[in-house]
Amino acid sequence: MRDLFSEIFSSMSHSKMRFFLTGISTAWGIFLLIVLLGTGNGIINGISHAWLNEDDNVVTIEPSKTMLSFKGHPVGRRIDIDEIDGTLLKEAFPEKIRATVAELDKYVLVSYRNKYSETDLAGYYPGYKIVRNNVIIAGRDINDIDIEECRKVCIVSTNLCKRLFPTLKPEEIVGKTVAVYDAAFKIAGVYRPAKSYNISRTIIAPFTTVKSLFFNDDHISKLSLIVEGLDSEKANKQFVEDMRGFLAGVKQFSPSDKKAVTITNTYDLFLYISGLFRTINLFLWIVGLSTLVAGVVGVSNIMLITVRERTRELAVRKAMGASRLSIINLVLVESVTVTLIFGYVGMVLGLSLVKLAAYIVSLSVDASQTGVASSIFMNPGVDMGVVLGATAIMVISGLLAGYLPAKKAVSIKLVDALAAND
Amino acid sequence: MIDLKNIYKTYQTASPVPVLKGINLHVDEGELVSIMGASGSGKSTMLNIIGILDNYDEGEYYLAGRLIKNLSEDDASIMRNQLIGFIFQSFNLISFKNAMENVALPLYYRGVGREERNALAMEYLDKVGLKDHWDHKPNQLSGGQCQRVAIARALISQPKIILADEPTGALDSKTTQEVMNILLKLNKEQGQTIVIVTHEQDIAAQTPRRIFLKDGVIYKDER
Repeated sequence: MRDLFSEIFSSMSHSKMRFFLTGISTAWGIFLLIVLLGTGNGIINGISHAWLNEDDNVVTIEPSKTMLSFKGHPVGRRIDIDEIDGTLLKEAFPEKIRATVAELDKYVLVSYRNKYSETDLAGYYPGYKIVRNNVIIAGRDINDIDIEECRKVCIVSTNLCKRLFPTLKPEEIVGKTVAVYDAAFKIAGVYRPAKSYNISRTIIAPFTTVKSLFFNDDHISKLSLIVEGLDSEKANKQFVEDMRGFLAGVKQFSPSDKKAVTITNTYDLFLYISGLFRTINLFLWIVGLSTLVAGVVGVSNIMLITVRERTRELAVRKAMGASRLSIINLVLVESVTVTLIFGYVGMVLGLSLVKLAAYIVSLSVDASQTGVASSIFMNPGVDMGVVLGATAIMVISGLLAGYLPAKKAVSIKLVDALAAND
Repeated sequence: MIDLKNIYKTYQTASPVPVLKGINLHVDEGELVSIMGASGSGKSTMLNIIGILDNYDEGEYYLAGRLIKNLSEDDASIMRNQLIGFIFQSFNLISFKNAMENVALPLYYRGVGREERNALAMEYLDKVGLKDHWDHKPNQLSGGQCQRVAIARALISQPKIILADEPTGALDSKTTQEVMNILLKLNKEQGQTIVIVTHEQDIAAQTPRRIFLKDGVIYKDER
């Protein structure tokens, strides 16, 4: 083995410049592959963090209208959702539903002195945070006493504050009174949506207050269920169907009526985004590998020239007793060695750049005081699998690059090659 | 040692060219033979067949008692490695290897370890008087020195026969004689069988047996 490598290195040092120039294209290919996948992962991590609720799988149920007639009921009948449905569902699926959150939504006009904004008013119980991940930055959150006493208090989002109180700091906003239509709400706290991209201006108020002021029945706008133990697409689909069937029994609509209630599952979003990520990843691999192909063709080309130049030498080796295999090895190992050496140079440079990017991103995350990552780009990097995969690709590329030259090398006509004069 | 029986060889080109038309030749162990002939007489083809570098179409060729016919490429390589030492007109040394490594090459393909083959290579370099030049690359050596390195390389595998194709073709008259003296000495002192292809009359004159080829047949065999 040592002999084989010393053979190869002495022949490589023979044409250093050429190998260097060829090697660069291989290094560039691997470099690009690593950087593409690294930044791709950064984007994927960023998007997952921003869009996906990492911990919980949330299923929401909203009222709608039937599209199938059922037991004499006409098509287009409105199916309402009530608070009690949460309790019923939790009893029906105790294993799967961990918690339920009832919500009242109303699109309202809110004003402070001469400033107006149209926005959502959401009525919640204090436990709402499991579906709405807000950060209170001034004042307090909705509490049980607010619910009990139907207090006209609210918490407002920073996005709304920019509109209504452009000059005030969050601490100064707490205690002000805003008008929702003609009802006066005292601002108990200011919140910032956990995700920076979230431009929601929703005002959050106690469930009971919103209900007494703006709703005259027991129906709710949305029921959110925190579900658990559903880790496959099939399990999720099954659960949604079971739930629809259960509600069909309670509300008297056809179990096959998909429109009677609107059920959305964050797992579908997860699937959708995962599919998107797979596509992005595939695309990046294709772009990276295509670049690498250029490098491989370059190495193959240079090996062909080398074999041609070494025709005489290879013929001498054969005359001295070299087997076909040893000639093939000479070319293939050389090709793989060149590819690996330069491939690793490219890989190390690529990994360094990705690490540098990760470092810069981490600096910007630290700079935002709350420590909540807010970038669409986070934790760029490649895992060990990619490094091993790239290594395998380099070896295979080296073999491919050496295949034709090696074939040419063993088919040298001994008699002609040996007789050729310099 | 060498037994050629009715050897025929035709180059299959657009219009087939017969080069050997029934060669019968017997060379005993310890002989020093020169083969002469004009270009196109078939002498190089005959040497290539003897050296197992080329195939023949008809007849039988025995080398050291073994029938050499229709060998696979790898078997031919093994046979060459074990039985034959080559000396070429253009030396055919490997340019990026030094003298010692060049001499050691046949042993590399015989699977001899690095230290042992390098030690042996030094021994054979000493025999051709180039021990001091062991670390010189071919381009740092004169033509005569290169050919002496090539002779050491041919000898290191202790071959049954040495085949020399115009060994002095690229040398001046002084070094020509030096190289011939080495070959003559090898034959005389060690009984090494040697076949030399040459077109130089005064080279052939120094060998005890001379074979003349013309139009693919041996027309004169003088001793």
